[in-house]
Amino acid sequence: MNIVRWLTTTNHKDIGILYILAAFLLGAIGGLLGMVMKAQTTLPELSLISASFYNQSVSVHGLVMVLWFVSPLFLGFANYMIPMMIGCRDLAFPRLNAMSFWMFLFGGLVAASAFFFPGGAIATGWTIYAPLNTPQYSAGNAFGIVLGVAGAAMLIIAITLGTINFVTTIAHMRAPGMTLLKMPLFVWFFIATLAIMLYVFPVLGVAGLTLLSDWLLGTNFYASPHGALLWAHLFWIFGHPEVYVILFPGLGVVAEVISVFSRRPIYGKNIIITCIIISTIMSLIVWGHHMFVTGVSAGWRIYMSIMTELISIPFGIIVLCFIATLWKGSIRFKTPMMFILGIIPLFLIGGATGVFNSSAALDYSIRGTYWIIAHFHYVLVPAVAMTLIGGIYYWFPKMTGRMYSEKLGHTHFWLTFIGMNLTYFPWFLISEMPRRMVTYSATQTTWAEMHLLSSVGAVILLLGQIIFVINMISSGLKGPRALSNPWGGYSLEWTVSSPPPASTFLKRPIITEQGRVKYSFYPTSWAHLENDGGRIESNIDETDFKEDSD
Amino acid sequence: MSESSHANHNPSHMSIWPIVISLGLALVFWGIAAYLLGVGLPLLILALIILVGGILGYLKETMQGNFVAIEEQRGAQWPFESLSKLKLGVWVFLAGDIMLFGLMVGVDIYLRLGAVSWPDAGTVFSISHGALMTYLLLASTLTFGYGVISIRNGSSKGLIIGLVLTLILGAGFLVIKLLEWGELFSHGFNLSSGLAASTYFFTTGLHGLHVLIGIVGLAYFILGSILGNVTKEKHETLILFGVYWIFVDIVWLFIFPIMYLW
Repeated sequence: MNIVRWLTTTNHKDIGILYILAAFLLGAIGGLLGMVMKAQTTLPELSLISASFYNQSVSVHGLVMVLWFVSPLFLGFANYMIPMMIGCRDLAFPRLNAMSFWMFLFGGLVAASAFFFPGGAIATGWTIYAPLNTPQYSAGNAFGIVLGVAGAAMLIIAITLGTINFVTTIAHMRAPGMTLLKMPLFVWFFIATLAIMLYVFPVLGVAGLTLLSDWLLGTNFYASPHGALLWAHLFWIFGHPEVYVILFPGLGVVAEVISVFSRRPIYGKNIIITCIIISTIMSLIVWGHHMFVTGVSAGWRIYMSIMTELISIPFGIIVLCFIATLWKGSIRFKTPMMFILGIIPLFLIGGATGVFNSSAALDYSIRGTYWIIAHFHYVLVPAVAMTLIGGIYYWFPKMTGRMYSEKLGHTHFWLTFIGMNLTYFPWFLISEMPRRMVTYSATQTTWAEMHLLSSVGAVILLLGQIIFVINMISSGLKGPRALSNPWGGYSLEWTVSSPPPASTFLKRPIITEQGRVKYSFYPTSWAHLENDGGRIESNIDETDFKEDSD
Repeated sequence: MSESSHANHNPSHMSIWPIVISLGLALVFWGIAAYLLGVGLPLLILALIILVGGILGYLKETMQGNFVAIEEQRGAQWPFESLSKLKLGVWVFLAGDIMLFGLMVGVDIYLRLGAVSWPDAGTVFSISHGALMTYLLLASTLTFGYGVISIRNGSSKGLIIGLVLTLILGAGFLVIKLLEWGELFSHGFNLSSGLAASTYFFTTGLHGLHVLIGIVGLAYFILGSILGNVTKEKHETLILFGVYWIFVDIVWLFIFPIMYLW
């Protein structure tokens, strides 16, 4: 465990672990900023922090959570799992993969370092709207904007390199017999993410570079008469598909977990794949629903409304397929399954409120209010953060070779589930309160009640995450040894030991016509899983969780 | 974590340069911020040294073959059986770059159509300069092609002549571009002179940066062919670099009419 190895490694598993650790480090920063905001709004007319710091917290919380927490978290999973799932030993371009990680990490540090410069971190809101983002209106926030956008530029480099790497790997390095349709759904969802990232991150690149050039070179893209609308278009051409970029890997985890823990093959795999492709294409052409009040034409508003309502259909089908997988299954309520089952109703609330927002007429009155932030927290927290945390539990035995504590895991789930609802649901009820307000009048008694309730929820949520960290550290160090396939999983990563050797496969796996793995390398621990078109049987039983003689 | 004696942890599968390049770029941005505070010039210079050193180290490692990626036997590759791994990677990169330039040109057109007034063609940007630059870039494609045909016939001398000519033409493009910029600056037309200036300088600057990267690449391949690393049997990376170089030419064929002739 020497430091040089971790700094110079190009192994996909090492880099996957680095990604996950970095994601939780940066996610903790974003989460604590959220707690600071929650503390400030708990009671009316508080002044725990300055208005300027509140603005910085709002902006950095949003940017960090979307760009530097969930993105690296799913990239960590993808790094660790995808080569194993498709049966190869590393990514196509290992050095570029390492570069991708370090660019991402240093980009995050560059953006976060603005807190220590005069004027503080970026304070424009995470959307960085023009003309607020121009030197004319944000002169005091120069370092925040320049460093924030510079960090994002490094992130774009990281994502571009990562996309090249993963597309090539999945296209070129699949094991013999691993046809496209035999790939696990996690890989399929990740392909959709890759396609969207390839399309939208250059858009963020153009937006970020022109903004940087406005600040550093003196051009004036965004101070111009059309600058505001130009930024809104560029930002949302990127920003809306970005929602799907981070949502798809979460759904990929759902697909893996729900199938393994109900002992059933996923229902309608090909239908899900079709829906993935349809929604990937549709996700690129609905960005205008963020811009209903910017003065775009009526025809544009109608088109965007209809397209946005339509895009909920493929997602509805995907969720129905997940639920149908449970039907007649033999469900085991392990922690990963708890998280995955828990998010289905929450994602339903988030998705259904999204359909309301997509109506231009309704959007006129609810945009920029707590209703909107309640909506997107109900989408992003369950469908992205909670699913990926479920994924952490699911793959924890594989990555560390040890079992986590089920008891702490369940506690973590319930605290997260209750805390999450208590934190965000009250925001739906104060839909008339504008977002991003540092404080509010004491005469608004409903707002005060709801914020107090929400703050209690936030504390419960925080408690849950502390338990999560304790569980991960203590189990990672001295949890019971895990078998190579503790859950009876079906994909290739479960055919190798836990943790897998640096070079995963001694001999290339071959996938047979029936979808079975022909070679098993660690025969003592490989469960015989056969897909007879219906229920999948496994010789795994509950005692396997206890101890492995190792 | 896992047995470090394994192939994946051999020195041939570890590289210091990714972290050096990333650190260098981060230091460049911190250097710029410190420079704005009035203290950062030494830091900025140091950062650039680290960044350039990192890139050179990376290229040197590649050229000497000190880094070995794992090669898998052929598996399921449908529908990409006919493309090599590297070629696929380059095309995916170009797909992203096409988005970048496509959107940049889109931004230019969007701002142009929305603007109240815009300088007429030929009044600010000299059409003859633009035409000359177009000619140089197109000619560089020809000389590059000459080099590739030479090495396919086994003549590394022809390759070196072709690549050096390409480098001269590319550098000529950049020199004329810089002279043109200097002339515009001397007429008081600089980056802050309205939207026409913003779009022109930014778009041509972004393209110029790609040409500069291409010139670094050409220098790398000239060095490689002098050292005998580019041979009749092994010149795939050269071809792929050619794809990039010609892509940069094609981008200019969009920028030239929009910026100079419209």
